[in-house]
Parts: sequence; C-alpha cells; structure tokens
Amino acid sequence: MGSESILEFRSVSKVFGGGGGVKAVNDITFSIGKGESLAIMGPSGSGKSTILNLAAGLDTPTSGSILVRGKDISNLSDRELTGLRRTEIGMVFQTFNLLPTLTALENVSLPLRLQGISQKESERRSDELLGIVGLSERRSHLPDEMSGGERQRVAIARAIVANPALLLADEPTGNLDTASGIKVLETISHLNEEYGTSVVLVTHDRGAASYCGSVMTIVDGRLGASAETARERQ
Amino acid sequence: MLGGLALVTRRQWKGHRLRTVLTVFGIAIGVATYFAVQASTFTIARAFEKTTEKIAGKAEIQIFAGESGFDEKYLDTVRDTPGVAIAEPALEMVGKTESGESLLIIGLDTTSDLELHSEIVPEQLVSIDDPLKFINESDSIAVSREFADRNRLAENSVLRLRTQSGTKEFTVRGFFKPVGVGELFGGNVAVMDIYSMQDVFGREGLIDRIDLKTDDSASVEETIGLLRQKLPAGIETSRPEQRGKAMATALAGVETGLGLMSFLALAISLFIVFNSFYVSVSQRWKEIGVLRALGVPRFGVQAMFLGEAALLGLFGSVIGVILGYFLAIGAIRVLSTVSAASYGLVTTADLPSLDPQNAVMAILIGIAASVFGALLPARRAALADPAAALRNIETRDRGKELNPLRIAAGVLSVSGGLAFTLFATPAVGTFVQVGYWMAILLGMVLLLPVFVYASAKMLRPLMNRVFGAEGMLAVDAMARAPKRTTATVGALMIGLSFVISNGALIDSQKAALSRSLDRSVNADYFVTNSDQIRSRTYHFSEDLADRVASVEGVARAENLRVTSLKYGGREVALLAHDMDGWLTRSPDALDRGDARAVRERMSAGEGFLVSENFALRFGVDLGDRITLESPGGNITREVLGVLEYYQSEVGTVFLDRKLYKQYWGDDTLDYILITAADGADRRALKAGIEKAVAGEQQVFVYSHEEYRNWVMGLIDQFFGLNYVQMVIAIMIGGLSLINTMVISVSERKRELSILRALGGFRSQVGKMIVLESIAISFVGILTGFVAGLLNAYCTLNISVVAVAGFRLPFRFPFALLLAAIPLVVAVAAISAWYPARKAAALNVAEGLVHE
Ligand SMILES: Nc1ncnc2c1ncn2[C@@H]1O[C@H](COP(=O)(O)OP(=O)(O)OP(=O)(O)O)[C@@H](O)[C@H]1O
Ligand SMILES: [Mg+2]
Repeated sequence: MGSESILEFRSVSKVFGGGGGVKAVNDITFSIGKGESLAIMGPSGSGKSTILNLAAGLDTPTSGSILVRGKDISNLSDRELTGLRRTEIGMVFQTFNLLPTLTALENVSLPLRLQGISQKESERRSDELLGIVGLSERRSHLPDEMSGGERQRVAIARAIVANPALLLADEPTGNLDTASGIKVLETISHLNEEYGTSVVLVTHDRGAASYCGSVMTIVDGRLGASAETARERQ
Repeated sequence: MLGGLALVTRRQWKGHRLRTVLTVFGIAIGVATYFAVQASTFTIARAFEKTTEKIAGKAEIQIFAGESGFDEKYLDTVRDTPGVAIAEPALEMVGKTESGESLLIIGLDTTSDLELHSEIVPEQLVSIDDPLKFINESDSIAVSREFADRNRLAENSVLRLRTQSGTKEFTVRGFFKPVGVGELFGGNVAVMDIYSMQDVFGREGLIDRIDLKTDDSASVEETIGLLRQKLPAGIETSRPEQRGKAMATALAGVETGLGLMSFLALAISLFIVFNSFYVSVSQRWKEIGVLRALGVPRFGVQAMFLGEAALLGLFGSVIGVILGYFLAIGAIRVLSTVSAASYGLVTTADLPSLDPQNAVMAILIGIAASVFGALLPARRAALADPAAALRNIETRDRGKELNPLRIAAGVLSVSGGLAFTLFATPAVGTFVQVGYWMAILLGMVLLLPVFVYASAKMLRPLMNRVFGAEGMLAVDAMARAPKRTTATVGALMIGLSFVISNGALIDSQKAALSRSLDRSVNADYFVTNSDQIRSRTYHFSEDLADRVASVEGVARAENLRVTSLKYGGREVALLAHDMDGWLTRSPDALDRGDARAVRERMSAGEGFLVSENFALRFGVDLGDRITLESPGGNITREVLGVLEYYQSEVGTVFLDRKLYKQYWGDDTLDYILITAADGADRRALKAGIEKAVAGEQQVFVYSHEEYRNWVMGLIDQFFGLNYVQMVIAIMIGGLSLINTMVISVSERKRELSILRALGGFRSQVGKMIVLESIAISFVGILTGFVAGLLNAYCTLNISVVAVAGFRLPFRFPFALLLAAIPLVVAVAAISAWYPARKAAALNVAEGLVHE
C-alpha cells in the first residue's frame, strides 16, 4: 500500500540489567508503511513484547534508533513519548487490561478524556467505535459482565479511539477461544483495511499471523526468517 | 519454625520500609500523647502536693476556712484542745511591687519561736537587727535575700506595695534566706508580724490558717476528730496533704479533657496499625498461602503477624515515650497556665517527672494497642484458604464489607445510643451514660463502608465533571478497596468527631453564657479585681465600692463577693449578692421561682437561690430547705429560686450580702456591678469609675460588651486544647492517608501503567492519586461531621449534665467545620505527595505485566 513509513527499527538492541545482562532484542531492523500489517512470531522469551514496548515508547533502546512516522523517538522525553502514544499509537494486550470499574463506553473514551476532550465528545466518538467493533448494545456493561472476546474488542476500540496511525497488539487472542479469537482478528484486519491503520501483531499462532500482510520471526532477540503470508499470496 | 517466620517478617519490613516506619510512627504518636498526658498530670499533682507540703512546713494539721479567713478567737479553742502541742496562726496576702512583681506576704506570730515555720524562715538564716522594733512598728517587713537583691532593698529601705487596701509603704527590717515555700515562688516571699498585718490590711481579728502539731497523748486522727467537734462546720481541719489533693482535683476537668485526648490518639493509632496490617496481609496473601502449604499451622501465621505487631508496638512505644516527654513539657506549661488562670493555683513545676511506672505503662499500652489493631488482619490471614491465595482479595472482600448483618448492627448501635440519649433521664455523676456515645461511635465505625459507597456514588459524577477522568478513577479506586479506605476514613472520623463535638461544646457553652450574661449578669459596667475566673488573691473594700457608687452617672452600684464553700463534700461557688439591686435589675433572672416575688424575702436574708446544676446534683428543689456551713455556724434557709448559672461545674448558691457578712465576717467584695443612670454620658461615666478606682492594686473596669468578650476569651483560652487536639487528629489522619495511598499505588501498579500506556501523563497519574486521597479525606470529613454531630448531641445532653449538671443549648460549630475542611483537604493533598510521585515514576512496561 502506501510508501510512507509509519514505524521503523534501525539496528535496535535492548539489553536489560546493564553490561552483562539479558540481550532481549539484538540488532533488529524492520519497517512497516502506512496501512501495512506485520505479524511478529517467535518462541516465548524471544523479545516480542520488548519490541512492542520499544515501539510504544514505554522503553528506550540500548542502541539503534526507532522512527515513528519518520521521526526518531529514541531521544524523546517521557512527556513527548506519552504525547506520541496519545496521537500515533494504540495498544492492545493479551490480558485486555480494561479498567474494571469503568463501563465499556467509559473504557473506550478514557484515552480521549485523558487528552482533555469533553466527556460528551469523547463518548460520541466512543459510541461510534463500539458500533464498529459490534458492541453497541454493551456500552453500559462493566468488563466483568462481558466475555473475553467482547472485552478484547472493547480494548481494540479503546486502542484506536484517538485515531492512531499504528496499532500494537501483543497476543490479543492469547486468552481467547478460537471463535472469539477469529472475531477479534477480523476486527483488527477490518480496521487495517477500512481505515488504513498500520498494525503490528505479536502472536504464537500461525493462523493469527495469516491475517497480516507479512510475518517476522524472532529467535533469541534476533531476526529470523521473514515470510509472506497467505494473504499476500492471494 | 518461629525463626523462619521471623526471617520472613524481617524481609517484609525491609521491603516495605515506609509502611513500617509509618506504623511505628502511628503508634509513637498515640503513646506520646498518652504518656505526655500521664506525665504532665502526674507532675502537676506532685507539684501541688509539694507546694502545700512546703507551705505547711512541719505542721501535721491545718485549720482553714476558705479564702475569707476566720476569727482568731478559735486559736484559743485550738490551743485548749487536748493533744495539740503547738498551734500557730498565719495570714497570707499578695501584694504587687511598682514594677508589677507579685510578692507573697506571710503573716506569722513573730513573738513565738516560730517552731512550725522554721521551714520558711529558718532561725539561722534570718537576720533581723532589732527584733523589738520589728514587732513594734507595724510597717516592718522581712523579705527574702533574692527579692531584696533584685529590688535593691537594704536595711530600712522603703518598699511600696499595692495591696487590696490601697498602696502601702513598708520598711524593710529583716532578711531571710527562704528554704521551703520561698523556693516555690521564686523567692518572692516576705514575712510580717501577723498582728501588724491584720492592722495594715484591715483584717483585724482574722486569720487564714492555724498550723499545728500534736503531742504524744493522741494520734493525729484523734486530734482532727476532736478539733472538728469543737470548731464550727465552716472551718475545716485536715492534714496538709489532703489540701494538696484538693487543689489537684480542681484540675480534674482539664485532666478529663486530656485523658479523652490520649484515648483518641490511641484509638487512631489502633486504626493505623489495623490499616498497615490489613494491607500487609493483602500484600502477603501469596506468602501466607505458601507458608500454609508448607505446613505452617493457622496459629503460626497468626502468631507471626501478632509478634510483628508486638515488636512494632514496642519500637513505637519507646519512641512515643521519648516524644511524649517533650510533649509533656508543653502540656505542663498549658496545665500550669490553665490552673493559674482559672483556679489561681500557682505551681513552679517545669520539667516532667519521669516516673518509670508511667513509662512502662505507656509502653505496655502501646504494645497492646498495636497487637489489638493487628488482631483482625492476623485472624484473616490465619483463616486464609491457601488455595485462594491467587484470587483477587479486593473484589472478594467487597461483599463482606456491605454485609447486611454488619449494617444492621451499625444502625442498631447508632440508634440505640441515640435512643438512650433521648429517653434516659440524665443524672449528675453517672458516667455509665458516657457509654451512649461509645455505642454511637461503634455503630458509625460499623457503618463506614456504607458511607464510603454512598459518598463514592455521590462524588463520582461530581469529580468526573470537575477533575475529568482522573477524578472519576480516583473515586472508583477509593470505593473498590473498602478496607484500605475505611481504616483511614475511620481514623479521620474519630479524630474529627471529637474535635467537632468539643467545638460544639465550646459554642454551646458560649451561647449559654451569653444568655446568662444578658439575663442575669446584665449590669452596664463591671469593676472586678482579677483577670482570671477563679483566682482571687485580692479583694475590694467597701470603701472602694462607696467611692465608685458616688461617681456621677452611676444609678446603682451592687457589691458582689464571689467565694466558695463545702457543700455535700464538694466545693460549690458562693455568690453573695446585693439581692435587692440584682433582682430589680434582672427581673427575669430566675428559671424557677419569680424574681419579683422573692426579691424582698431574698434581700431580707430569708432564703437562698441555687443554680440548676446545684439543684440537679444535690437533688434540691424549689421550696426545699438547705443548710450551709459557715465560719459563723450553720445557716438553714428555703430555696426561693433556681436559675441556670455556670460559675461552677459543681453548683452555685446565692445569698444576700448582709447574710454573708454576718456569718462569714467578711465585708470584702470582688465585683462592683454598675447600672448607669438614664442618659448618662457613658464615656464620662467610665472615666469617672476609672478615676475612682485608681491606685488599687489590681482593678479592671469593663463595659457589658467588654465583659462579655473577656468571659468568652477565657473560654476560648480554656479550650485552646481543642485546637491541639484538632492538629493531632489531622496529623494522624495524614499519616494514615500516606499509608493508605502508598498501598493504593502498590496495589494498582497495573492499572496506573495502563493509564500511562493509553497516553496518560505522569502528572495525570499523580493527580489521580492526590484526588483519591482528597476523596478519602472528604468521606472522613463527612463521617466525622455526622459522628461529631451525634457525639455533640450526646455530650451536651448526657455528658455535660453528668459531669457538671449544666443544660446547654445545642450549637453546631460551623466555623470550626469550615476551618477543618480546607485543613484536612490540604493535609490529604500533602499526604498524597510521596505516593503520587511514586505512582508517576512507575515503570510502565513492568507495571503492565504486574499481577
Ligand atoms: N524488565 C525486564 N528486565 C529484565 N529482563 C527482561 C525485562 N523484560 C523482559 N526481559 C527479558 O527479555 C527477554 C524477552 O522478553 P519478552 O517479554 O520480550 O519476550 P516475549 O517474546 O514477549 O515472550 P512471551 O511470548 O512469553 O511473551 C526475556 O528473556 C525476558 O526475561
Ligand atoms: Mg510477550
């Protein structure tokens, strides 16, 4: 699709625990453009989540540089990184991470409200997104009152409510049964295709990876084979 | 096994240093308050005993009759009593030097060998050049060396003193080095011949005291018994120590207040310990599960927590005793000021005496409070199902907190306490009734979770609108962890409820006094001899009263003597009024009985008036006949009227001045109450009065308004302790808040990280923590307000009646509440500062995977 680069890793390494520590990410280089989707696969402990955290500015690389929309984020302040997450990046987690006391609608509108957008406007936009993920009738429910799949779709709505260019999803189907998982993946690829949101999807599951345009494999923090997915071949 | 558990515990303390420190500090504050109160009251009591001991010298028995003194003819009666070896008279007066220094003048029979008073003026330390002249010249005075040096007095120097009979000149004809009583008053002691002194001060034929020693023919007790038979009832005979005790009991009211304060501080300490341990158990849930799985029995887990509590209690208590010592220094200063200002008892206690028994007791109480506070959490830990260790505790506990049984018990306890307050007839002196407000407070504690939920419901939309999503989340966080929240809310509630009910008491007393001032103390001007409520070392003469009465613009001047007497074993106030004048001026003075109707009989000395609290305490009704004991014998009269009057917590009796003069042989006075003539120039009138009283040793002229302000000011001063209490309550509330908020942050790492991942700034996370703290403090204020209201209602209707027999109108201290709100909120915000910083600095990537 588009040629504009949304996220780019240039020889990024991340070492935990100083000099002789764990090299969680080792000289990784890749990039994804606007509207593209990338699946990252690899065994447990290979560094997948670390890559997402680095991309989201929740961690800083030990070496190399990370560019979001062409802008190097490795030297930004915490406040600037937070600003980046507000406008450019949405995150989805394996354990949903919805706030338990907030309703679906309140959860989805939370990022907008943190940005100082009025409750009314935030909720109007959130309602729209709950419609897109197919949960309009759940708007007043608390997380406890929803199924895992529904919760994850609420989390996705929350991740993209601020219209980010990039969606980072860390094993979003890891805690779901197959049917719910498929629904979640369909939602993500719908957003990717319909709204041009770039997606980085971490997963263990080949089937899940097949929803993405390309797949990158990580082993011990290093880049393994990169392959085209079924979708690309079609 | 215990060694292993101890290791686990030590790790915990290290891992949660702040919580450990806060817990220790929480205990320390409670113990410090308790110890300071104990040490200071103990020290003051000792100081009183020492004072009286020194004044008594070697006397085994003292005979006295209140402050008006008694006829010297009884000296012979005493001397003729078998068993009495030596009996010596004494007079005491206070004069003021021109520089305003007070000088205690003791009149002794200098012709005797002063055997009993060698403590004051030891023979070898006295130097009187010409003893004969000393006795013959009535202006002779011997002063202490210190006083002489300070005032540059040499042999034959003239010493000018302002006394109650005007300014007098004395000639210094002797010096002595004081040992006994002189030390107490900083050396400001002088000795005169008692007969010269009677002369100079217009107290002919009167003595204040007889000091005596017994011979071997009878025991001291037997001699006291014999003397009591021979002397009229208004003259008291007792051992000197008992006088010291009586002086100390005058402070009982203040001590009760202080005692309540230490109770309050300990109660709040208990909440802090509860809070800490509740949190500790929550955080160590897994550890407990593991220990249990490893075969540690239930009691082992419980013992681990209780042992931990005992140890923390020990640390905290030791620190508390040390802190308390310093607090006691301040408390003693307050107590001495209060005792001097309100009761005229002068002591020179400066440093608290460190009684080891008090210290040990304080430490034991601290440990007990700590263990008691940890009891419930420890039990919860012991009862934990090891398999449940992984489940989320907060959500699991929620149901239990809003348990209908608990709510029912709370409602029952509160309404029961209130019902008793409303329907049980209060009686004087029955302290069981204080249990009513205990029931109310207990009920309030049980209902705390309900208050937390209700407030959260109310606050959520409000905070959402005002503070945005952070406000909403702050309220949610508060409501979601009821135990964490209620422990702090409880600490704030108890503290504030005391402060608010005390404030209500103060406001109500002021309202009552104000009403009393308007209704029965409604003169236009007051001339008084003391700027203190009960200290009257100095009285006016009738001469002065006559001078004042003849000032132009004075329509009427009434003379009033305020003193006290023993009635039913208690010290009641005695007001000798010019009844005709008073009841004419204040026709509505009486609550029961008609002032107009009884005026003539009262001024003819045919009856008494009593205060409502006197009537209540001694079961006296309108029309009853009561008997007063005076130095001139018993007087029995009918009670012709009853009125609310707040001079004394025990009771007040009013009689006509003529009757008083006749039976007490005392024509001095303490107040001149002036009614201005119609159309008199007020400014000229006051100037005229001031001119008439110029040269008096000590005199204060107040208009009605000024007098009112002066009385109100004294009440405020007396209740200054309430502000100390408020500061302590809020400080401990703050400690509890820090504890709670640190916990809140550590329990919600994940949630806070999510917020950051969603684009929340550090500042927004910090704001949320501060808002949670404020929300909690708000519930604390709200519940403190409700509990304080109920407590105040109870205090006024039950406790005040029980202690003093006063019935006070209810006034709510809105001003105090309005002052407390911003203070509490500010402390809440400050308390959240550290936890908020901690929250803002969280590592988000780690927090996201935190369980
Ligand atoms: N904060 C940290 N401190 C130290 N080491 C860390 C930290 N975070 C991750 N690691 C280490 O870095 C490596 C990569 O971890 P990461 O969480 O990225 O793996 P992952 O691929 O996401 O695994 P999984 O599939 O189990 O989620 C692991 O060895 C992990 O132990
Ligand atoms: Mg991972």
